[in-house]
Amino acid sequence: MNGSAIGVSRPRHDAVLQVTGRALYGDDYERPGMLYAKALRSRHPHARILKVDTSRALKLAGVKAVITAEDVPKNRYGFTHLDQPVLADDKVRYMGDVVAVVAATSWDAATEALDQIEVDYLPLPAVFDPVEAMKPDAPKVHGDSNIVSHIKIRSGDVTEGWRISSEIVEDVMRTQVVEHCHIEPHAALAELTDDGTYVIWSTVQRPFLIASDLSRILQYPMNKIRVITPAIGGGFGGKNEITIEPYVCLLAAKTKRPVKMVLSREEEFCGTTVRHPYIVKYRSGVTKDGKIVARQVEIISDSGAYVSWGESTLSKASIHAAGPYFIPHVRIDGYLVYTNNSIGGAMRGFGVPQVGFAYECHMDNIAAVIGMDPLEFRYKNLLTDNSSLPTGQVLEFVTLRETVRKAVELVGWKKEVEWE
Amino acid sequence: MKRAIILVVNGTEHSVEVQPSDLLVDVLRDRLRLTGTKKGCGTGECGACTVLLDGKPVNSCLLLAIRCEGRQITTIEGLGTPDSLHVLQKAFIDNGAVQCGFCAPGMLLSAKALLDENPAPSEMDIRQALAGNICRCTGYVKIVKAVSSAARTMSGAEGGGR
Amino acid sequence: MLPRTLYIRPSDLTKALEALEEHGPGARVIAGGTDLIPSMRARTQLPSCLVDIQGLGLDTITRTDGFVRIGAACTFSELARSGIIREMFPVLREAASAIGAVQTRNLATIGGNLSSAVPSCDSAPALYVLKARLTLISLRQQRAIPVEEFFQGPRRTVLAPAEILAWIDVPVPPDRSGSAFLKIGRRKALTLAIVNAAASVCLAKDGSTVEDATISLGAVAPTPLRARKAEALLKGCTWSEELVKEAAWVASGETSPISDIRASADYRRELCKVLVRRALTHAWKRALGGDQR
Repeated sequence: MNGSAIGVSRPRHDAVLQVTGRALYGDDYERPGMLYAKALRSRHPHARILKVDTSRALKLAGVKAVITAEDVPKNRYGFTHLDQPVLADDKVRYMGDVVAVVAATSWDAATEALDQIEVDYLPLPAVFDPVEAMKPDAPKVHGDSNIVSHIKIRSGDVTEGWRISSEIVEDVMRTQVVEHCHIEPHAALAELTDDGTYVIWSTVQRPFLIASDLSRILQYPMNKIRVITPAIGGGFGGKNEITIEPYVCLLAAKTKRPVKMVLSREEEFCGTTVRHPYIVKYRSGVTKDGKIVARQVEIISDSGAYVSWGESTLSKASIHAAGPYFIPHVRIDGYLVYTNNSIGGAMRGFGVPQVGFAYECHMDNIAAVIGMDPLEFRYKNLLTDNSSLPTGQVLEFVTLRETVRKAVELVGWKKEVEWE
Repeated sequence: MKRAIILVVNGTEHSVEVQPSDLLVDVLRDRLRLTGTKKGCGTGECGACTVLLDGKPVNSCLLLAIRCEGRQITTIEGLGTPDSLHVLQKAFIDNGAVQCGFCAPGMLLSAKALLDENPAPSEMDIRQALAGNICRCTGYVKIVKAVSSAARTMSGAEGGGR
Repeated sequence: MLPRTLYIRPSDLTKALEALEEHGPGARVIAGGTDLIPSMRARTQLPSCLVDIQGLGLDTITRTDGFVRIGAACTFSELARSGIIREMFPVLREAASAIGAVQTRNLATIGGNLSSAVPSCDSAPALYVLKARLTLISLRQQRAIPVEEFFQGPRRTVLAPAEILAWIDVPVPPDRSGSAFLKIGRRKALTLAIVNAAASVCLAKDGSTVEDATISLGAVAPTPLRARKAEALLKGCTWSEELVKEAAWVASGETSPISDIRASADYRRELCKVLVRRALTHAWKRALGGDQR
């Protein structure tokens, strides 16, 4: 390697293995005597579990073990909130909740056993709209409020901002659920070695986070948990936290055999995290010459049944919600709300694409209202060196204006732009 | 109701016992341990399990293994090896057409079938031939470029395409 | 992981029919399997026995006096590649090329596409405007019916238990006629139609009077349909852009679309107008001999 790597395409070091089919991904691993695990998921978006009876499934040929909530030493996990059960115990809170997992000598036997597990549910009223979920009388997903967190950012005084504005423009934007759709489904294989070490081959993006989560769930020392990440067939944030690793570990311990589990594409959609759908309300005040002087933002993030990365993504979204524009008076409120929908988690951009889409649509609308070219309007308000963000952070080395000018030149937006 | 069948994979005969309901993708991966064929959706939507059946790309997740008796199956393991890459494989590496690599085996086999039939494909021909293979990483631009460059190499190098 | 089933590969058509008869209502024909296998995997279809109809001679395309006979086990790749289809029925070639992706078309058969009877079935509108006839065979009888009489509703056809769709006869179109197929889906490939449409136009000797026209639409009713009011409007009239627009508008009114994951009913109705207008125009150009493709 000599010289700079910038501007030079370099082949991936493992590309030869990938193009010849030799690269080993999660589901490509196997161990002698391996069992196959399948999950039984909830039939209801919200229900109390009255009884789980696995006795019939256990009698089937090939079935070696069935685990339920009782088998989990510490049945709660989560990055900021320990609110998610490994296996549903008191309630199921969305259709992806896992009630039991079977380990059997073949995929077929494991799949057939799922039909033999009897679960008695008491269906509960469910809530799917985060705005409805925020109301005091909405069905509660956890505890006595569905509002998990409220992030506040205040800068200047928006009341003063509205007073000095000549126009005030309001918009509401909604973004949709997005599933990561990495082409490789989640896969995990666990083995408990003779010296009591769990060895886990998993498609997870963050082996050490998984090891520490597993340590807490299994109540087992972290130095006895070894997570190996093989080649990963895409993640995009969808493989950012534990999913099926606890099941294969628990089943490996119970059966004393290696256990593998692979999600189906359907399970990828219903039982793994998605990009949070947001409802974003913008209100901005502008002066006659096109300066934004005030902006109020309300973000409602649908967390689904559990928090997962919801609070982290919401705080990132809130920090970015004013956009790359200098605005003296800002008020941002972000709400994370439980519903009985799929769980929102990490995904590329971590909450920022949702607000980015919203504030840029909003900027176009403001430009139209005040009759200004949308580019000139943006340019006039861009952050510069020494601009401070609503969080109080003062920026250095800001090259936004140069970047915009170069982009305009390359795109050929207009022949003549009157740069301020 | 297991039945012994002979599968011809990459020119080699394999005798395997299969259930009628066994899918080709599972027999290739789990029984013959040819794990280069990937499983992404199981419903014929993603193309990761693409293999060539008598030279034509098919989704091995939609095909009962028992129906493949006596037919020529080509998997990614039969296209080239690390020591002797197929022109397409080299072009995928050189053009940065591989990121996570999970779609690559299927993508390469679809491309191989295209070039066997049409040695000088247009960009539209390539895009249509690869429409059944989904890639979530690359945005396809470099994949199309790689196939196009492989086609040029193969036609320029007088049968140098193996 | 498919549910267990028996598998029979008969050596000829009669044996296939006997196998279906013997194994009763749980027996299913398997041709390409691109619809059946995912259904089995989803456990929406649980056949006790699969009777393979590949290799029974039902995969040929032959030209006979006045019509072309297409075996029901012909794959869409074979149809798209066939010189006879390309030359005589470009509308069918367009429909065949619009299905799935290369991998799907290499397995999926025209008989399977019809027999699965999903409302968005791409081959049906093309066969409707070509006025194809289907031959259904069982041990007891052999009958031929117009393709339009085949469908009874979503995933329902007139096929009796142990009866097979064996082949499709497509009459050679008259002189001065042309037809075309169009499809809009959520993507350009590997997608079900939001709406698909086919049209054929036959011009009188004067080259401008519409002697006959057929219009067929899919994914906008429980079964593919013929837009007969719109056809009647065109017949005997002099070709004009306004006429075509009006026919497209009328055709849209003959549909009963639903809103689903792919599109709203309103969007489908609008799409009908656009696709019928374009399909008619394309068919007309072909009838004029201006575009043989």
